[in-house]
Amino acid sequence: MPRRRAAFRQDELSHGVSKLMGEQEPYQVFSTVHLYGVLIAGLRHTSLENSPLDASEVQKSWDILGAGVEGHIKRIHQHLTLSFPLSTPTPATGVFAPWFMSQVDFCSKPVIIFCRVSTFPAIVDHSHHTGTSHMADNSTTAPPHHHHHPTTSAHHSHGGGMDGMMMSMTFYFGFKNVELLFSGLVINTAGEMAGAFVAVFLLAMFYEGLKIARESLLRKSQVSIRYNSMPVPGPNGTILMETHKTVGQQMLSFPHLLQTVLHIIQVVISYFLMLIFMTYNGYLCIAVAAGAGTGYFLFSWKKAVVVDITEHCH
Amino acid sequence: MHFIFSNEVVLLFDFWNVHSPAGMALSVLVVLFLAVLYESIKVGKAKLLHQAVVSVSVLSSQQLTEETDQDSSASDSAPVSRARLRWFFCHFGQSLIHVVQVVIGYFMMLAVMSYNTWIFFGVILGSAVGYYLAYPLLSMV
Repeated sequence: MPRRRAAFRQDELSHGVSKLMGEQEPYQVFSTVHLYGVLIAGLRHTSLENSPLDASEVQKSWDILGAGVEGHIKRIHQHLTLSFPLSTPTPATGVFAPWFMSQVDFCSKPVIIFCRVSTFPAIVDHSHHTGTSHMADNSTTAPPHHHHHPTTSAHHSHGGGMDGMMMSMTFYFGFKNVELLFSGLVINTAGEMAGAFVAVFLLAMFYEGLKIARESLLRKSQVSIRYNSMPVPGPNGTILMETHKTVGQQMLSFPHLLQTVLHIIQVVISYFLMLIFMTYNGYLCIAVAAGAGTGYFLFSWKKAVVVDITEHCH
Repeated sequence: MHFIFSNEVVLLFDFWNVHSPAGMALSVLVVLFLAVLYESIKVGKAKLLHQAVVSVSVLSSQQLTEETDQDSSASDSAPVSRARLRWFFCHFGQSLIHVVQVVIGYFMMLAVMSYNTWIFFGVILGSAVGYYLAYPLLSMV
């Protein structure tokens, strides 16, 4: 007579789950749950045959698990240290463990399945958690070591007051985990934020200066062309002054090429400033505005004087 | 990410939370006013620059003529410094206006980034109305 073991190590499973959660709570579902360790290990100890797991046993195991699952990311990401003997860690495809369980033939030894579960299908009770905005994502690989990194994933709700997207959509003041333009640039400390503030300030100043420099370059090159006069020998030995009045530049002339290069740089920097402002970080936005103001003040001073002179002379 | 017609949006700040059609209409009006303000600031800055240049040059030329009448060779710096001081204040005010213009421009960009179609219409309409009202003033003296 084959000896049947009910929902494998039920006491250890519930112990582990309660250790993870802290208290037993009714079924609540959360969009993604990120669990390392044992999720379901239903197993039937059979002597000879490999038969799929009984559906009721799976459900029981799920019930036990779901009874303790909480929503808060801190508790989910607690390191679950259970001392289960590990025979075959099987990467699950991250969908539904009961389905998976029903497909797997269990051998006689106890099998621990490490998998990340995306949703709890039977335990459906949508609840919005207000505290955190970080949710675990679902991937398919089972990590050999317990290394968790909280990441964000898309929420189902759009609009409304709840922000589930990766970016913040309202202004905030902070310097923890601020991504700046490139993947390597992440601000984590106040010192790094101060450095980023200075860098963004200088970038905005440089942008204003570049704008004014381009304007003055354009005016200079146009003026030089406009009053291009050359002596031309006329009839009877006299010399006539022929004044060419051309507005605009030739395509391959050096000033035009320089203007084009500067235009590209200006467009790129303006997009960078827009993206920096789009981080919605209060410190960085203030840096952009202050840098623009200071740059305008410093560089346009000279421009105004130049405008003064040219307006009065011509 | 795509444009949606919705009565719910969170615009720019945490407290600016819109739920109802009335709130949405009010938000669209605010954004419209912001866009009108942006266009008028652009025109206003150009006019102020023109005014400042004219006034400072008039001031400096007046002082120079006074100087030649009085025929005083000493203290050449005083009238010039007065013109310079006035120019400094004009330019400082212009820089502040420039900061306001940059910030409002970015706020409008972020409002459009909310991907709400009503807000987008508000920004476009506000830019159109602002341009229509403000740019004729540019050529007027």
